[in-house]
Amino acid sequence: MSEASEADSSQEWLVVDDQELKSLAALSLDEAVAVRRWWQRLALSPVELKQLTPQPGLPRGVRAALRRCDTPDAALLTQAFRELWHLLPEATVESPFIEAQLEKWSCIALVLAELRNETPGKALAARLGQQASTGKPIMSELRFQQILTCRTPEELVQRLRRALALAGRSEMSAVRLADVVALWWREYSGEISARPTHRFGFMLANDYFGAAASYRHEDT
Amino acid sequence: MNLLNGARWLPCLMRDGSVEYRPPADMAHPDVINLACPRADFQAGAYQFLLGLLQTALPLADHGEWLDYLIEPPRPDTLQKAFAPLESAFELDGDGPRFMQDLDPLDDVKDTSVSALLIDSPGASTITKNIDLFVKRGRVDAMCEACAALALFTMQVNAPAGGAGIRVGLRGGGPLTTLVMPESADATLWQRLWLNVLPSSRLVQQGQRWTEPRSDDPDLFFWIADTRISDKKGTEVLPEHVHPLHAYWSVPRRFRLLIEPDKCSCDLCGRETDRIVRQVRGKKQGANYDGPWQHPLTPYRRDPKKPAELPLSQKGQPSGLGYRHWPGLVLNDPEGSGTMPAAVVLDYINHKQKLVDEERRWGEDVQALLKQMRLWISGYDLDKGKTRGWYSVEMPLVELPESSQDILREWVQQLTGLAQQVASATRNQIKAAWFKRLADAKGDMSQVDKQFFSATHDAFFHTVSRLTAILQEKAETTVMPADIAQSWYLVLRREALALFDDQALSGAQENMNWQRATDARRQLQGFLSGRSKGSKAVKDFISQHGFAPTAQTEKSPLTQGGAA
Ligand SMILES: [Zn+2]
Repeated sequence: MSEASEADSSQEWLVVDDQELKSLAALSLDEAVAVRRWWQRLALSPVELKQLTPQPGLPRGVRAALRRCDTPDAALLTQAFRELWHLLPEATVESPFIEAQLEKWSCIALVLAELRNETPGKALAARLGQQASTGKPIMSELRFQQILTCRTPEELVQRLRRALALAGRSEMSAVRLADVVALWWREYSGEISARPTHRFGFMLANDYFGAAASYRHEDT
Repeated sequence: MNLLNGARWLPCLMRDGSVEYRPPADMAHPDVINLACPRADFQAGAYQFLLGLLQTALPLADHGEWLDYLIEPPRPDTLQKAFAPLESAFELDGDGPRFMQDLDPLDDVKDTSVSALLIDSPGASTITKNIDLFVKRGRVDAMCEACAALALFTMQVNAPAGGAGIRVGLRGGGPLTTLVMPESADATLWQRLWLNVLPSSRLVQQGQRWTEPRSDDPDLFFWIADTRISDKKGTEVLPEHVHPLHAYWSVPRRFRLLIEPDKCSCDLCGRETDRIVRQVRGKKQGANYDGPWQHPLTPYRRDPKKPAELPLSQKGQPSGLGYRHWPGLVLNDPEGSGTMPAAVVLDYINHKQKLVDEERRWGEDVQALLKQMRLWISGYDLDKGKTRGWYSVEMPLVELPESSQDILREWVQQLTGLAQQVASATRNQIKAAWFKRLADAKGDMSQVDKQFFSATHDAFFHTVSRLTAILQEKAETTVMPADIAQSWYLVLRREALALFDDQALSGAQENMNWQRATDARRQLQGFLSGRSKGSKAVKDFISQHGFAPTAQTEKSPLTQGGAA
């Protein structure tokens, strides 16, 4: 299914640069590359896409169908999800925990469908902590804390979709956005990193409060 | 019991791992490799007892004589002969003078439990291997004579503050003792002891005069005469009032042991004994030591800006003893930082080390195990006068020509100085992550420092040994090599962040105050990179040694977080 020819493989590497790769906690390089390519074909206009890859875009309706899904289960049955699943590396799609993988990646698909434009390298939470015209962060601290305490995949998807709407569906990295969902899943399935700085709560809070710190001290 | 006439009372660790009770004259027996006292503080006490005994019974004319005894230890009968003239001052009971006790039977004082001889709770803190195995805890109602003698001696030489009229030891209450020890576990007790014996001339303080030690000299052994009572002003005991060796035999406390014949087992060592001590009598106003004492086994500190003030003995620290104290324990710097290592340590570094090296070059068979040395530091952990435990810590000693010591000291101060700064920034940011306002943070944070210094301990001594090697090669070097400075900096940075993450981020995730935690971590990173306002020390260290604050190999994914 993969259209990437031998000649393209060196370019594929640059789809996710070193800096961005280092910032990921839960996605592998292959997964990150798949996510970016898939999102580009899903969301970008043919003109934009042409500058990035020879691969064709997905028909507009594919994304629309995905965005209409309310639950991860529903997303599983979309063409958009199938496209993503086929791009994923073997290690992912042939994992022994296939049920969990399917559910995790359908959540990623659901959330990424809300992103219209990306800024590679930039984290979701850093975008949410950015100053809005009100002088306050784009997402209030209270709502942000709710993301940190999501207990079900449905709740996570709902809160992240809401966050994307607040953020204008732009100015963040698709890859890092997918990483946030994957990281949440990792901890949801009981696997918490031994390094506290590689945990969901810390990573999001560090980005959010880090962004807010640049202007916050002026208020207090 | 007489301590010197051949009684087998000294617990010795034998080469085969067994413990045997032997007379002090067996301390040079080749099969005796260490002492095996029932408590960690007794172990250090017994070392000091034997050292005092050697200095008194075997006065050394010079280092040449010292070397002779190192190469060829005395036979037990030689030592026994040397001890014989002192015997009368080492009687533990009887009607005459009693070892380290009051000449007066103290009949007017109520009897108290023998546990009054014990300084509280050794065994609670750091104890070296081999020793803690022997520590017994719980009530102490009865002691054998051997344990009572060790308890009495340990109390007299360490005597912490005890209240009005209860005198502290000659070195102040609860001083540190530093001894030079061979690295090798195979070394004999004799080698361990002998490294800490000084030529007699080095024991003489200002105003003192050396005389042949005699058992009937009341300026040497106070207990053979009436107690020097200190109920009035002007009764202070100054160095010039006593024999130079008195530092080893000080008696600030007044005690009488009540020794009874009874078959019983000792609560400390567990041995069955015929004679037991259940009660003692104690009285206030013993010898009140004052003046510029400098005990040969203890490091001191003076204030170079106040030359008229007396040097103070270094004490145990509530936050533990670590490599940050090491320069003050081994490098002489009375004019700069004011630290004055113990005479035995300086004598080893400046004289014995050289001597041993030279002899080895001449083909003398000075055992190879005497190549690597350690510093053994012990003392009570006193917290505002309360005894919390006993320290027994070992650190490496370095081999270094005297001429390079100033440079090494400066370098080491740069290393420890940076470590102190990083430790305190780490502590402050952990506090900032934990507490709403720093002013609320009254909790004891010394644990953080302790952990930080213990995590960087090995790297410190590794760094020092690299520096020493460079000074040995190129004595004229004055600038610390950039790569060594950088690797020390990177170790400190890594451990600071690891400690912060462990303390401030690893609690229950849902209870975390993420704003405080992430802000504090960002502050700490800013400090460590030398970028924040308060991090001048880091910035200076980096620019002074001319290296980049990052390592090529280091993967640090999260430093870029936040607004791009
Ligand atoms: Zn005993």
